[in-house]
Amino acid sequence: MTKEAILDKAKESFIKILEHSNFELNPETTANDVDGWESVTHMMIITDIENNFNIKFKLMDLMNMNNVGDLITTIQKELLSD
Amino acid sequence: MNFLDKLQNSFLKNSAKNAICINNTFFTYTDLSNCVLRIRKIIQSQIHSEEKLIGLVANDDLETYATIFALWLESKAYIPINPTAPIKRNTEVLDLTGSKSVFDSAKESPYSSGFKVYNVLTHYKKLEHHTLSVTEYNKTDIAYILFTSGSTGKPKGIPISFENLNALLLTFENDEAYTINNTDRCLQMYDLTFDASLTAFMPAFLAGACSYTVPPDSMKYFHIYKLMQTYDLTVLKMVPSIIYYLRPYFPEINQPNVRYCVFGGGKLFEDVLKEWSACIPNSTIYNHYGPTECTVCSSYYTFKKHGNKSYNGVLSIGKPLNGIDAVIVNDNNDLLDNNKIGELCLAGKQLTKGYWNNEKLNDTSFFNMKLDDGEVKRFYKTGDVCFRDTDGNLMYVERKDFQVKIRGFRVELGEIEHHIKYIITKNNLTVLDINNSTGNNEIALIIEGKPFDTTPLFNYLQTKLPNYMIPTQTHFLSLLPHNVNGKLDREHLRKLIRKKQT
Repeated sequence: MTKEAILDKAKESFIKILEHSNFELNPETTANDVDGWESVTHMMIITDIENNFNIKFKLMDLMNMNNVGDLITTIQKELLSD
Repeated sequence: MNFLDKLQNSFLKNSAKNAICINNTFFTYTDLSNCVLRIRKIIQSQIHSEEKLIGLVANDDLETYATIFALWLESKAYIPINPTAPIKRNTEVLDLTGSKSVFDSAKESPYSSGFKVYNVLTHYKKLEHHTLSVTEYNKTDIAYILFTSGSTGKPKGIPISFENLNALLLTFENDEAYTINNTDRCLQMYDLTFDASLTAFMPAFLAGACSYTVPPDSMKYFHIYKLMQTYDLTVLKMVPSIIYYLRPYFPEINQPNVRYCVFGGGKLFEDVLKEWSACIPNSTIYNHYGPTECTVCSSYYTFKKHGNKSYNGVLSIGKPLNGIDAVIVNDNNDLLDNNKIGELCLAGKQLTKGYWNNEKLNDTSFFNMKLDDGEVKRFYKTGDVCFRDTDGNLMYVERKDFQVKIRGFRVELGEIEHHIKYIITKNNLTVLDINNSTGNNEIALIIEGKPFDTTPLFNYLQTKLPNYMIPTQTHFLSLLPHNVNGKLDREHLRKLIRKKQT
């Protein structure tokens, strides 16, 4: 899967959990840039992405995830490792 | 010796050691002392000795912690306000206490229009005479006032005196089962507007240990794990929800150097805790309980590998601390026998004098009772429904009113409804705490009627309430369910919401 395709698919989880689509997702986007993306919703988004991509993140990757770019790279890594 | 003298000793004795780590930057006890002295100088030269209550914007930096100690050395109280909470609400809190001065380490403070704002960084001056000695003070002077959500729409202030705080810290110090030393690395994850922060940073500073703070804008549970990993933390004090979030990742966590793990600020479920204990195999685990009114912690329970006390899966809150009287009473304030469920009431040296300027609430929240030894003591009605088992352990059942905990913060749902009803005047509505898919509490807004755009409502709420009090789910139902007594049926409502979500 290309990074663009991963981003598009991941965005669906953001829209579903945050219940709005009033945001742009690009590699530099952080939680501060998106309304409603905070501790509680973050965990729900992560769980939803895991289900949609059929992957399981590692805690070590999650703790070093600082922006959407890190998220996409991690999803890609998980997809390749399967 | 009071805790301020002990603090001074610890600062001097451990001067070369690290005191606090903020965003990967370490500050030694000398750095902290120097900062305290600088701020103390400002207080001495610019704030009248009679002005006792000082606002403090709770930023995540050295200056903010130093300000707390500098104010205490000058026998003044800090009123912490959260920099991310609406300015209007923070201003209301400061106005309620009559504070005129605010310490804010931010570059540009939003409080400069109504208050005299002191920015420690710009006031920097080199000092000739160094002293951390304590100014004469009255034991009943206030050390801090914390504001919690109140059901009338007005926040209620809880003043805690130096005597109250001293009693708590002395009990901790004398507890041989909890001895922190100057090689410990301690987690400080709490916002300073939350009193559980005091039992995180005070024992650490008194022992000469190093505290590690969690940045306010981080995903807390992941950042805490990062701190545990990076700095090999030895003492953890956390809200239970941290382990509820981390639960899916427990198999990846192994922290054998954690010596103590203390939970405080919410219900602690035994099953999750059991799994968590395998991640910190060498740690003693404590469950702290206590309302802010009785100075952070009133009782605690020590987790065992087997044979724990729990009720409905919630771990016992244990036995009262030394110097605290805990009783269970019925609605007429009559004492109840063991194993009988009633309201937990607390008395002792840690108990506040009463809510700030709120006689009406004080009349209903405190009462006098004669104990078996004939002594009459003043008790606080916690609003927590509990019972005491035959071994003397307290079991937590539920909140008496609709006050709930959201991310560790105490929230009165009534206050949220109060503000929502200012905008939505035509529909029946309610707010409800709901367990989400991660097992944590969320606030849901349920409106009776056909769906409509709630953007104006949420725009309004953002100017009125701190983030954690703003509902994170909105549902429209054709009818709100009520029980035979005509009261809103919250359990039925929760079921309906759950059904709607699946």
